[in-house]
Amino acid sequence: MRKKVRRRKSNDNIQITIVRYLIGLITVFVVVSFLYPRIITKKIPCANSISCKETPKFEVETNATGIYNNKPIIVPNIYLSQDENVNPVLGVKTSRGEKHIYVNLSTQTLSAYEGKNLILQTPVSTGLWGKTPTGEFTIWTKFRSTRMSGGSGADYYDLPNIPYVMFFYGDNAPASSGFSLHGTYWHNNFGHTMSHGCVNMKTTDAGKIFEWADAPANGNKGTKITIYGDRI
Amino acid sequence: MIKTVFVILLGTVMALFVTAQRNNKINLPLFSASLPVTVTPIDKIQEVSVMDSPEGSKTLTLQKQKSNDLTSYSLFVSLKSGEQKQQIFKREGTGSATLSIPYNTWSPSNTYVFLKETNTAINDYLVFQSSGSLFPNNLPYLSVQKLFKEKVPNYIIEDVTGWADLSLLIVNTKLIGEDKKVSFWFDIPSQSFIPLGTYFK
Repeated sequence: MRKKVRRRKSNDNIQITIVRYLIGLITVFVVVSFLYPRIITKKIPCANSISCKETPKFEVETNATGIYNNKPIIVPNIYLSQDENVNPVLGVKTSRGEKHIYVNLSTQTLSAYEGKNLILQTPVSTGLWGKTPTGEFTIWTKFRSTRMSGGSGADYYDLPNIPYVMFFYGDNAPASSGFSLHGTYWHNNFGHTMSHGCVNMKTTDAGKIFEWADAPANGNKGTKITIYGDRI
Repeated sequence: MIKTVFVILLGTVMALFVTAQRNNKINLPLFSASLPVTVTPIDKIQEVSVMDSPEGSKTLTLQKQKSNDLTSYSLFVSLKSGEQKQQIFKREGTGSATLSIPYNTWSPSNTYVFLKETNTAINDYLVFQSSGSLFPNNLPYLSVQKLFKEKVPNYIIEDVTGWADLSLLIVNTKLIGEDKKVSFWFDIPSQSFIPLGTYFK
């Protein structure tokens, strides 16, 4: 009789232990599920708060005022009618191989290749206040002009008419994080880090890359981008 | 008789022909001597460097000419649309200082440009108004080195990299005698230097 009671007690203890383990596992799972997206979001900050909240769109404003370094800045107008007169310097119609853009964070340079042919090489400005992600990416959409905002305090910015924007995404930066290559009218310090994570270029260079690079079309992915090197 | 007259006439004609030829030969040097003998030396443009503004509407051109020991620099601004270029600065001298156009020379709104002056001792950076207008006190340019030395005596300039915004030039400096590096913004309108917490590499 005593043996039977001991066995029952022993079985009950085992069941309680199992239940405790299960509850513990479920708790850990719930906590991790809750925190993981926040940890990921912290690792990949939002480069552009507008595109992180909503899908970016084509926007052109006339006689607009922007904010850069928390100070008002006159925004250059964009005359779309003049775009037709711009020669697509890199717009060679006959393909000479796969298009690929390389951004070297150590040297702050961008190199555009078609196959083994170097099409354009130019100084750029990558992340100073925010980190530019490294890895393999592709262009997922292009806009002749859009608005971006971000930063905080002294480095807050809200800039309309950002020219020749090529948003990219990859494993280390989802599309919603808003990273892009684009032209720049608010600083001229290329070859040195100066951005919140995007790749800033001279507007003339951005225009050439914009005309040359491809957004996804007909089932094909956009132009590949490789970002590598140590941040200087 | 007829034969004799013919021979004399033939001889006369030939003599006249030879004389004429001789006269022609004598005249040639006289004709050449009437050309100007002093040739004005034309300065050779040794180097021309150009830099377009970031959005491509304007071009900055620096011409260097050397004649014997005299070196002259001329700085021009022109519109890409083809308007005649405007000279905004000219310097002549015998010193060893050289001028060059940095990649980020244009301020973002094309109001200012800056040049690098390389010297054996310490480099200087010269800021110009792209319109050719003078700065206060009729200064054709602002010497960043001179102003920095006056206003921030404990630091030395290592580099001027470009423009942080429409009128702020990025000046990277080092504390004299130490490794501490500090970036400043040089505000052109107020000619003041603003120390920064972030070092602009």
